Amino acid sequence: MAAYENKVNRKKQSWIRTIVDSDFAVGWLFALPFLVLWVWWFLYPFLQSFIRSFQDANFASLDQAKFIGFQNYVNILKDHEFYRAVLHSLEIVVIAVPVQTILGLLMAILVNQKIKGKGIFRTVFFIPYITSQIAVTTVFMMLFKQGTFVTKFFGLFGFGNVTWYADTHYALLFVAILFIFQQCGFSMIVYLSALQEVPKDLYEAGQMDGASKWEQFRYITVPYVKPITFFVVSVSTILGFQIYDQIAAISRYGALGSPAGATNTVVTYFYQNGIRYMNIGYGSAAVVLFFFIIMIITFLQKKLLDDKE
Amino acid sequence: MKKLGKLTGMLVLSFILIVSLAACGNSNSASSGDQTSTKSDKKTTITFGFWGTAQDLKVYQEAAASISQKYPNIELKIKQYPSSDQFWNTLPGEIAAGVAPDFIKITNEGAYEYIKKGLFTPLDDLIKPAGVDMSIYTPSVTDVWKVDGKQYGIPNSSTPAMFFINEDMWKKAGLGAYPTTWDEVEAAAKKLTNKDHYGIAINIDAYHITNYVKSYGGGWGNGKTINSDQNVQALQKIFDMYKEGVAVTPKSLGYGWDGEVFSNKKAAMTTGGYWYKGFLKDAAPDLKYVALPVPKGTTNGSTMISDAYVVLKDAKDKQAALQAAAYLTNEKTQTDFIKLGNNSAVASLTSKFFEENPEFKAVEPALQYSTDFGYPEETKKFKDELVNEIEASVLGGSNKSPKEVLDGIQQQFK
Repeated sequence: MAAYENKVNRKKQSWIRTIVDSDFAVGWLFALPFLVLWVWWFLYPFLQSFIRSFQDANFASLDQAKFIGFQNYVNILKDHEFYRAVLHSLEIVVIAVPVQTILGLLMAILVNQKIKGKGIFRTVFFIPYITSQIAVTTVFMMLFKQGTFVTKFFGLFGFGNVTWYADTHYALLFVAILFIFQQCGFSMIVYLSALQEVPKDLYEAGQMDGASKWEQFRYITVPYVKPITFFVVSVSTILGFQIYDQIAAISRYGALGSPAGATNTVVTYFYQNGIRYMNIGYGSAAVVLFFFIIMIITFLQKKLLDDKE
Repeated sequence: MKKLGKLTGMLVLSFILIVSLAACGNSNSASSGDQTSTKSDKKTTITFGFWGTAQDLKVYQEAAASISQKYPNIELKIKQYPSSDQFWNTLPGEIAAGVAPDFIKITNEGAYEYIKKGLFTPLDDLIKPAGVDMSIYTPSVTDVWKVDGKQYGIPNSSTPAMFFINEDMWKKAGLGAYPTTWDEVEAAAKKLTNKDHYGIAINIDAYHITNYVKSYGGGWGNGKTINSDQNVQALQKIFDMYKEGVAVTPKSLGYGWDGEVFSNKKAAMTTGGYWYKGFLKDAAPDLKYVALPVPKGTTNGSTMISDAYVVLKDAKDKQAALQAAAYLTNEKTQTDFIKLGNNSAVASLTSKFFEENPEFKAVEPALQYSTDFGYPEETKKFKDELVNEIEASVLGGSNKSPKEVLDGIQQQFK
């Protein structure tokens, strides 16, 4: 009997030993904390939203939700405000992402030089990224009021001396400028870490071959930081699509997306319908569509920037 | 052995994480312990939610401290929301999650949507068993809180909308008697407009637009009469004043609301409400102003701002919540609010309001003809549409006529 028990225990131990020795199991266990959070905070809400998107559901009486098939999607695709919101989101991304990526790279090159006080520059450039978005927006709202030195300065280039965020022609540009200002610091830090990895001997070899500064930048720096560029562009695109706080701040006393819906984006469209109007089924359908829009754009970006050579 | 330790560590870490998350999700059951203890003390804890000033909170805290004198079985807890935005945005989520207060104070500007969506309890069947005497309230104000023949609120206050004029600017411009019609306002606004300030602030906001509309004999008719001729006429007057360059919306000047424009002396006139008193006292103590009834378009008309206590549909003990709500309209609490500038809905206390607030005396006749807002059931959506369409015309140059603007909105709220 005792021999039998020993045999069983040995078998058990070898089973545990196999798991312990398996890199596969240890890998999963390391990933477990993240996975639990991911399931809890992302997957579960997303599945909830996905299910709700097929329901006529009121936020305040979810128990009375009714299944209505694709009706929410049909209604959204018939709503011209949705297309307007998508267009505004695209405009912010198209204006802001290239500008902040290029500025981020240039700032990183600047603070990567052997210059005095580069630590101060690095801090100053990075501060807007870690500052509260509402605080930055409030300061910008003061700066871009009618009659301030900022609006007067832009007036030299043909812009009207008006309160930018209250003008339907400038409000979206105001949001894009805010985004660029805040996001540049992030791009700079990421590029800076990439620049410090570029081997010095590549530049030395370039110099020996007679390459100018521009040619060194064009043929050494840019290709070397290309994976980082993909990362910066992808992250900024997603954040650009998700911009909300700045718009909520400038429309604090009016309709969300004001003036006259000029700053209404896909996220504010969702918030307005899903939360403010309590139509969570309709809002969820907008979110699911939004998810696929971001996914397609990220995929296209990867295709465009992912040059294996 | 080292690997086994690592594995054990990971398992412990994961376990802690899961337990912490589970603990987050269990906050309700943890707090329910409070209910059990109150039950054992034979006391019902009723939570009351509102947004307002620190002074309001003080008045409510005093009422909560004294409620046991009348209702020994009720313990009243006060929950203050930091802002109206927070209140309106948080409440639906709290109701959905079952963590909303038992009763709340709400204004008639946003209540209709919630009533129609079934979030509040009709009080008719509770009033008698709770021993609440509804005859003490001004009947017209009680009626503001009736929808489809059912009573939804215990009225707390009611004040008509007002029209404010900067007295110094008015005198400096050499103008005589104060205006009683919008035509007179328009003429005065032309004289009052100069490089330093505009004649009138017209905040592109549903509250202010509705007052213009009412003064032309119009109204939204809960969505049925959005594009009525009277409403078009009222909107035309607003558009005219903007076209003439005598009116400004706060946003164009970088201000949040009309009170800021007025207190910063950027406009000589504006529509507003009783809250101006408290605001101007702090923001511009030297500013001399007069408060008048909303000028006539074609008739006397303006909005009646009323707030009331409503019991939420998921209140644990609806009868106790109603009793607590009614208690907040006791003479002492109401008198404290009158001193803060609110006109009590208790009929016998209305005269006290004008004694305590003589600057509002001219507005007293408006109590007779001011009415509810009459927004459509989808109130928030309507207000957003109205603001967006008027902003597009005034700030964005969409060049739509008032009739086109209102026809477009009417289409969406048939």
